[in-house]
Amino acid sequence: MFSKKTMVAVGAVVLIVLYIIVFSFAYLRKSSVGDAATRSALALVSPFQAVFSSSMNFMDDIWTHYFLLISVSRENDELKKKLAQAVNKNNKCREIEFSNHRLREFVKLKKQSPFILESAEVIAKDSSPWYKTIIINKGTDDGVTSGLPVIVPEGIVGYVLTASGKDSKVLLIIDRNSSVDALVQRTRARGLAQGITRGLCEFDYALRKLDIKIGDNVISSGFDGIYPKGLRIGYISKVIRRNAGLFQDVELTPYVDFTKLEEVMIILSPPLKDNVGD
Amino acid sequence: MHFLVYFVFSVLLICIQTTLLPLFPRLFVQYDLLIPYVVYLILFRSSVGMLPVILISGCLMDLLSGGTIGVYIATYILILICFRNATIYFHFKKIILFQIVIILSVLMENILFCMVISIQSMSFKLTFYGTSVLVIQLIWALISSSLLYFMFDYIFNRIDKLIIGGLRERV
Repeated sequence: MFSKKTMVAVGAVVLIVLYIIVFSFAYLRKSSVGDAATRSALALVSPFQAVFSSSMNFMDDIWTHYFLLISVSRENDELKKKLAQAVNKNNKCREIEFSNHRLREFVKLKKQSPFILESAEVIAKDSSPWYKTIIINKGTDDGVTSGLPVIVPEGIVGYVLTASGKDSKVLLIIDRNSSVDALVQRTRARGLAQGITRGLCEFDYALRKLDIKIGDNVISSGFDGIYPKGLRIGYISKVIRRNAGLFQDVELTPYVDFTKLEEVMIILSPPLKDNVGD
Repeated sequence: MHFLVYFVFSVLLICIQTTLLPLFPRLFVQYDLLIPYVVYLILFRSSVGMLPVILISGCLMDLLSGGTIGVYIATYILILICFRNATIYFHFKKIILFQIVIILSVLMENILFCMVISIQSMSFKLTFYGTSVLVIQLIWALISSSLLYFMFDYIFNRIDKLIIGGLRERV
């Protein structure tokens, strides 16, 4: 009545339906046979699954934490490079800012000063610790001659010792061969600011009776024929008044920091006695 | 040729000493780099070209410095006179002899400076500053001399080879 093919198909359908019905009941009733089968299957497969899964995780880990690290490392290198450039740029900006500040002070000094000023850069310093001179990059070609005073906004630096075509040697006021005729601004007590090499000056020949106190401002008197009157030199940092003797021992600390000199101004016009400390 | 090399090297050292070293803190500044150079030339190099270079270097230093003219040149000549034959009389290792001579030379230079300053100011005061300058210079002489010896030795040996190689090629 039915062909063989039809019989096989119907049989397969019936088997599938039965299989589904049986397993559905088994699932609902939680039969011990099904449980045991599941446990066995799990026990058989799960170790391999665990190994497989952990190895996959390991691979994934490698991929995310190692291979990706290469690109992170490259990115890090790039960022480091950029940071170095930024730091460099920042440093340059800061240097420009400082230089701008210094030059502004110079321009202010140039505008306010009654003298003709020529700016110069310090290009070298004395190699010996016993002498205090600097070499600047302006010489006779720029109108600089020996004997001209050299200043910065803070005060007197020194005077031009020798001038060549393009450079000049400046004797600093802290050199022991330098002396500036000076006045204590408050009391007009007169003395000689003489260098003592270790970055300081002595205020020599100040009479014992004169009123000199620590912190007093000392200016040039203009009598030495080199420095115009009224230029700042330094402040009194030590006073020793002995019981005997004509003079008192006075130490003078210059306003100029000679270790940080970078630019200076040379007073080209001769000292004018009329520009008294104004 | 040797004279030219020595001269260029001395100018280089003067430039370093007057422009580069003052940028460092005071501790690094107070050391005359030409002393090791002059000592090296006197002890270990041939006299050809050495004497004029020492004289010119001394002259340059005197002109650049604010000190009395002639102090540096006098120092270098004094070093030359005192230690010219040191290698004959003292049989130390080269480097030890170099160190000893440098320390003595630095001492001599400072004594000479002090003498000149004392004569100029007609007084002699042993100040803390003066003593510290001397001590720091001596310490630097001790520390840097071996390094400078190796540096000079390496550079001049290389230059010698270059010069000899050049001459051979010409022949």
